[in-house]
Amino acid sequence: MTVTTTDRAGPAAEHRLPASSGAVAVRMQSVRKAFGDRIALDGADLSVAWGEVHALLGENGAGKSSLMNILAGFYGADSGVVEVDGRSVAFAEPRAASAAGIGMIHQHFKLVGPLTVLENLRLACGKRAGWTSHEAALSASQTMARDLGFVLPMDVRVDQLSVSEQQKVEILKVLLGGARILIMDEPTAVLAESEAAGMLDLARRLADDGRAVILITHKLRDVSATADRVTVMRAGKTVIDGASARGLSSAELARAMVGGETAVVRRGAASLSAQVVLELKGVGTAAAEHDVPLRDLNLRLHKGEILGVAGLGGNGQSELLETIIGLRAPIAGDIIMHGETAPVQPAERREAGLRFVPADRFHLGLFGSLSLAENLAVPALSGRRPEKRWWVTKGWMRGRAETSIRDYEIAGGVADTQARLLSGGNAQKLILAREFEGEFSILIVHSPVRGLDVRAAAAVQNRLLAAAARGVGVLMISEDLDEVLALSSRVAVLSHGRLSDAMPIEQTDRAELGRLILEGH
Amino acid sequence: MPYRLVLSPRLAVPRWLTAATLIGGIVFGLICCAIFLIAFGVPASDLGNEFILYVFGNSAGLDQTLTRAISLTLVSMSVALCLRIRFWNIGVEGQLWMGALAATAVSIYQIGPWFLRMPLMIVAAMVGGALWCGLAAVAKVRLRADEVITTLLLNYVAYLLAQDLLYGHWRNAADQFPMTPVFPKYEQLPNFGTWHLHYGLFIALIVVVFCWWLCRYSRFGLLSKAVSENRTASRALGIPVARITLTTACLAGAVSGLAGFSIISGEEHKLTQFVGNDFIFPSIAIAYLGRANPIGVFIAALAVAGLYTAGDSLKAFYQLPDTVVVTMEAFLLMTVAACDVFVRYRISILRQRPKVATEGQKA
Repeated sequence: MTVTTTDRAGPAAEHRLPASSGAVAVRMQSVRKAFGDRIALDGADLSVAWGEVHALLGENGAGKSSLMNILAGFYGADSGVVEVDGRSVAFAEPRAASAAGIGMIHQHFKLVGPLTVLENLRLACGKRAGWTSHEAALSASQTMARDLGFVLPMDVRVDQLSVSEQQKVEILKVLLGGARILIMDEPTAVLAESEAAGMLDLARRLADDGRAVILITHKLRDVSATADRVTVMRAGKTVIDGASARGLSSAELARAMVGGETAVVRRGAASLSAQVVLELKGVGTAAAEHDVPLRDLNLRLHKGEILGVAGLGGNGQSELLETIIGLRAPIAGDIIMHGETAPVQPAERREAGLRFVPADRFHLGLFGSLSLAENLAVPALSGRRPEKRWWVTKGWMRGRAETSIRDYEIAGGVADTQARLLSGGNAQKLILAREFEGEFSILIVHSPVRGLDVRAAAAVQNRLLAAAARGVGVLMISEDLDEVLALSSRVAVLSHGRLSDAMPIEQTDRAELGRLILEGH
Repeated sequence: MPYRLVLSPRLAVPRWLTAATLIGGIVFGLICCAIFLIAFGVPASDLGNEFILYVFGNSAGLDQTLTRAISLTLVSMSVALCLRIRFWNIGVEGQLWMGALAATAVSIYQIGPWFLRMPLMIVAAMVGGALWCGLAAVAKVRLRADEVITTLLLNYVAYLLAQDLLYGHWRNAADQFPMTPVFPKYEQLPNFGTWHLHYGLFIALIVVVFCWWLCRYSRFGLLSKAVSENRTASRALGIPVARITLTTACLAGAVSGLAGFSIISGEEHKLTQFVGNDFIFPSIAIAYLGRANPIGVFIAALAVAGLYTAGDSLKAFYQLPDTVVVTMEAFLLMTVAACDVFVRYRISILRQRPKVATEGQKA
C-alpha cells in the first residue's frame, strides 16, 4: 500500500501573500454537483478577492457547504470552473487544497481531544510547516498566536479548553499550515456574544493582512458588521453574486435567502380544534456542548393541525424533538400530553400516542444492520403489550412487513434487506411506515422531506396532511420555509432555542418569517 | 509505486463469503500451528495423529475433550450473550467462582433435603454468577462505570473471597488442606459410565438450545439486537434499554455460575483452589470464534477443548510447555480475526491515479 504523496509548497512559500489586494483569489463559476438524484449545486458562482471578507449566505441545504467542500478538496465538482489565484484547479483531496493555501475552519472542530494544543498543531501542519523539533514548533506557534493576539497555553490538553479556545486552535492550525484563503464555517455559531465580536474582528484583520476570508453564516448581523461583499445562495444556485455588503438591506438579503416568490399555498382557514393534544409550558433544557439549550419554550399543538416550526438548523430543532419524545429531560417547565403531565419515559409517551420522525434517520430512527422486517417489528414487540413474546419468527415479521412495504412503496423493498442499504427516501418511507402503524394522536416530524426527490417528498407530505385530516396533531419542525408554508396551518419560529408565538399562516408572510428566522425575536 | 491497494467497504455480505472466510481463517491458523509445532520438533507425520486421532478418535481423548468443552461452552456463552448487546464481560472467572461458592455453600450448610440438594445448588450457582455480573451491569447503567474494568476487577474480588473461605471457614477439618470435603454422592453430577464426562454435558446442551432460542426466536433477542445497534434509537422507540442490559448481564452471569457448578459437582466433587482459573482468555476467544452465535460458540468450544487435549498430549510426549496451547489458540484467533477484512471490505488493486491536484499549489 502506498501513501499518496503530494508535492508541497515548501516552508518558504508559507505566509507569502499576494502583492495586490483586490486581485481575484477564488473564482468558481457554474459549478454543478449532484449526489445521486439529489442536486446540491446547480450553477453556483462565487468570486472572492484578496484582502476581503466575503460572506456566503444561505439557508440550510442551499449549497454553501457543498460549494466550500469542493473548494477545500473534500469532493470534486461534476462540472464548472474552479480557479484559485487565476489557475484552474480540481483538488483530488483536502491535502491538495491545503497545499494550495486553502484552509477550512469547520463548525465542528477537527481536533484530537487528549493531545495538547501544540501536539494538535504539529499533527495537523508539522510537515507542511517544516518543523523538525519541538522547539521550532513551539516558537512558530507562539509567534503566530501572539501575532493574532491569542492567549493560548500550548501544553494544555485540547479537551480541557473552552469552545472559543478550541476554535482558536483550529485557526492557528490553518494559518500555520500556510493558508491564505480561509473558509470559516459559521464561526460565531458556537460563541457567546462577546467572543463572537472578537472572532469577526479577527476575520477582518486576517483579510486586512491580504488574505481572502470566506465567512459562511446565517446571521445578517455578521454580514453587515464585517463583510465587504456578500454572495447569497438558494437551492444550489447563486442568487446574489458578490454584491457590496453595505448596499443591501437586511430585508433584501432575507428575501434573497428565503426566496421572493409569494406563491404561498393559502389553505382554507380551517377552524382550529379546541382540543390541545400537546402543550409545552416554559420548557427549558440544559446547555451542553454543541447543543442549543431551549429557553422558556411555550407551544400548544391542537388536534388535527399541522403546526410548522420554522428556523435555521442548529437553533434547537433536534433538542426540541428529543425533549418532546422524552430522550432529553427538561430542567424547567412542563410537558403536557392530552391534558395530563407527560410520563417521563419515551416508552410511556409512545404508548400515550406519540410518534416521531427524526431528521437523522439512522441516528434516532432506524437500526441499520437490522432488516426492514425487523425494523418494522421493533415497536410492535416493545412496550407493555407486545404482539409476540416467546416465538418471534422471521416469517411473522416478513408477513407484517410486506403490507407496509407495499403501502409505502419502499423500493427495493425485500423484507430481509438491511435498512442501511436503503436510499434516503426509502429509509424515510420505512420510518413513516413504522411510525404510522396503529393508533396515535401526536406526531413530531423533523425535516421530513430532507434529501428526498420530488415524488418521494410529495408522498411524505401527503401522508402528513392525511394524518392531520384524521385528527392527529402534527408538529412539523422544518428548516425549509417553503415546506412550512406549504403544509402548516400555523407557524412559529425557532431561533436560538426560543420559540415565537404561533401565527396562523394566512396572517403572516415570507418576509416576516424570514426576518424572525434571521434576526430572532 | 504505480499500484495501490484500495479497501472499499462492502454493503452486502453474501453468506458464503462469511463462511468461507471463517473456514479459511481456521485452516490458515491450523497451518500456522503446524509450522509452529514442527519448528518445536514435533515430527510432521505425527501431527495428524495428535490432532485428529488422539483428540477425537480415542475414547480417553474424546472424554477429556468433551469434559473440558462443558465449562468452556458455558463461560463462552456468557461472554457471547453479553457481546450481543456490546457489554464486554471480562469477568467470567469471577462469576464462575461466585457460582461455585454459592453452590458449595448450599452443600456445606446442608440447605434443603438431600433430594433437592442438587437443584438448589444449581439455582444457587446461577444466582451467585448472576449477582456478580449484574453488579457490573448496575454500575454501568446507573453510574456509567465501564464494564471492562468492573467485570475484570470483580474477578479478583471473587477469587480472593474463595481463597479466604478455603483457608478459613471452609477448610477441610480432616486434613487441613485448603479444599472442602468431598461432596456426598447426591451432590455430584453422575458420570457417563466409567468416563470423566458427566451430566454437566446436558446442562451445557440445554444452555446452548436456550440461548439459541433466545437469540433467534424470542422478542428479547430481537430487542437486544436493536439495543446493540443503536441505543439512542432504542430508547426513543421505547425499548427498555437498561432492563435489557441488566437482564442480559444477569443471564450471562448465571451461565458462568453454572460452569462453576458443573466443575465442582461434575469434575472436582469439591471446592478447590483451582476451579476457576484460566477461563478469561479462552472464553473471549471462543465467543469471538463462534461469532457470538450460540451454536457457533458450542462448536468453537468443542474445537478449543480439542486443542487443549492435543496440548496435553504434546506436553506429555514432546515435553512442550503449557503455553503452546495458548499460542495455538492465539494463532487461530488472529487468523480468523484478520480474515474479517475480506468480509468487511472489497479489496482491489488499482493503478495509481494520476495527480490532478498539483496545479494550485505552485502559486
